[in-house]
Amino acid sequence: MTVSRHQPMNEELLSAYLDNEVTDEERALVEAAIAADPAIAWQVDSLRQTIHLLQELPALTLPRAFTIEAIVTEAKRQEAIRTPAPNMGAPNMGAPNMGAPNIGKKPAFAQQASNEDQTGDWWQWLQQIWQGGNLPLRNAAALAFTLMLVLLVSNRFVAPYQPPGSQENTPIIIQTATNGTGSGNRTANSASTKVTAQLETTPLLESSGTASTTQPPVASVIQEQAIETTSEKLPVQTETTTAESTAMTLRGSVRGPGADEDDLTGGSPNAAMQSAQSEGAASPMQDSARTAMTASFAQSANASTSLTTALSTTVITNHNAQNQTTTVLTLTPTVTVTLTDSVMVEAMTPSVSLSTDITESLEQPTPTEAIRDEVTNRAGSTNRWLEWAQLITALCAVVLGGLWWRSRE
Amino acid sequence: MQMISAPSSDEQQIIMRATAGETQAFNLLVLKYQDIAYSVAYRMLRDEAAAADVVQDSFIKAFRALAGFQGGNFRSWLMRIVANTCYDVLRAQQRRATDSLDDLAVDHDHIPSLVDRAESPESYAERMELNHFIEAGIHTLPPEQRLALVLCDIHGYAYEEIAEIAGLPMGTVKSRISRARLRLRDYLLNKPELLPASFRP
Repeated sequence: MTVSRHQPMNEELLSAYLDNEVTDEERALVEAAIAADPAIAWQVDSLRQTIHLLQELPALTLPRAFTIEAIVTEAKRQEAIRTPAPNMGAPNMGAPNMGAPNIGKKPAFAQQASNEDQTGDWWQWLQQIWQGGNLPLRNAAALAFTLMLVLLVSNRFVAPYQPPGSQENTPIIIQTATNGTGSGNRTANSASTKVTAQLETTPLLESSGTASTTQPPVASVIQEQAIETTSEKLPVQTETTTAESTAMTLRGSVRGPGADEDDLTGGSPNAAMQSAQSEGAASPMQDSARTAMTASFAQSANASTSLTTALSTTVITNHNAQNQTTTVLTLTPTVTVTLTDSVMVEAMTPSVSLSTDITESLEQPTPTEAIRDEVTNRAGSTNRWLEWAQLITALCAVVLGGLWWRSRE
Repeated sequence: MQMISAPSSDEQQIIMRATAGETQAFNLLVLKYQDIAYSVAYRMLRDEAAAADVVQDSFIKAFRALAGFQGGNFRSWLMRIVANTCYDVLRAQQRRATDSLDDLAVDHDHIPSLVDRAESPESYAERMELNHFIEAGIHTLPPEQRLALVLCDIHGYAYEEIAEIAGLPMGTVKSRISRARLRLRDYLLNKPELLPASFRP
């Protein structure tokens, strides 16, 4: 607060004046102001009395002596009171363990101090961490906990947790075959799988099913469902057809979880084929899938032949078991129709977009490059990395947390 | 106001003997400065046990660092250790945010002050109440201002020595002392009935 009538004078100057920490000019200025202004005089007087009250405070009595012998005695007393704690040989600043009093010689803690000088500062720093509170240690522990939480949360986003045996996480095997020469398996997370196959077809051929030989079924396609479809000659058209199937439908058509698996598709590829080819064994879920994909195919194919298609989740393959033209339609980015034996026609050159929220990695990757490119396999490696990171971080958190707990004393 | 006194030759010799590891020499230094060290620590912390621990730790630190003492004012050097140790304790208390049991139950039978048997019980009670009030007022100050006020007004340290102890420029010390006095005066004016008549505005 500046005294208004004496601008250069402030309370700091008044305080210094009371302590004789002013120059002669300042002293003269203050004294003149005191004589001229009662308020300044009261200010100076009140401050002087405040100082006087402080000086009149009684002297304090020592609770104990602080000589070396007294410190040693006090340390031994506190050591006896305290619960035995792990001692790494470090001095405790609160209750130094200095051993027995050794009057006339260098005290134990002095000897220890000289030893510490020889050992180095790092050992003393470690001792301080172990013995007492250490802010960097606490910060490190907090950081470790935070990192662990971040990793746990990020893991939820990157790769949803899959408890073993959970129905919602039964993988779907999406299988493809290209010209009957290869097959590919990929595993997708079916928890929220929605497969959309868009077939954009172009008119290509009109063929009659007079093939003489039989294209063998795509045996390499595992767990597929064969759907027989007879399509009539349809007008040539270009149309985009979307086949959508819910997750349950896909699971049902591909591989049922748990005990229902055998009922739907059988435990093996052959059993799956047999089950799929048997109309009587078809389940409602199978019908659902068949309906969707049949409609798609019937509209897209301009053929007067009887087609037998095998549907695998998002892949339609056809085969002919009765010496008829066998068409294998593979829902790959490039879908081809292969007419066996007599004609090999690029039946359709549709552009197929297969959109799924697949999060699992390829399982037993196959040479089917189109599918491999389509599937994102980063989730698996990310999972492994996250698991290791979580494990290491958790260990660090436990160790640092334990040290922090000890440092609370 | 005390001036910085150069250590006497006796004290210099005692310091040298203590540096060489002579316990009795260090004990002499302890006996000489333990009162003021404890007083500063108690005014800073307002806790007997904590102040005693601070003094003990300060002497241990001083003994360990005695080899690094470059000479000069041993009292300032020692009080700087005490002040820094007090700051450490205050920071630890802030982190833990604990309440002292002494604050909950004041033991009026054990006020650490000398008793003048010549005064009446009434005046003794009034003096004790005023002292308690002043101590409480000191404790309301920020630690930096508290240290400057205690060293200057209670123990009579010069500004220059306070600046050396606190490691601050002289102007900063002046400012802190002035602010501390003003705040304490305003605090005391909250209970004018305890103050002398001349103190009241």
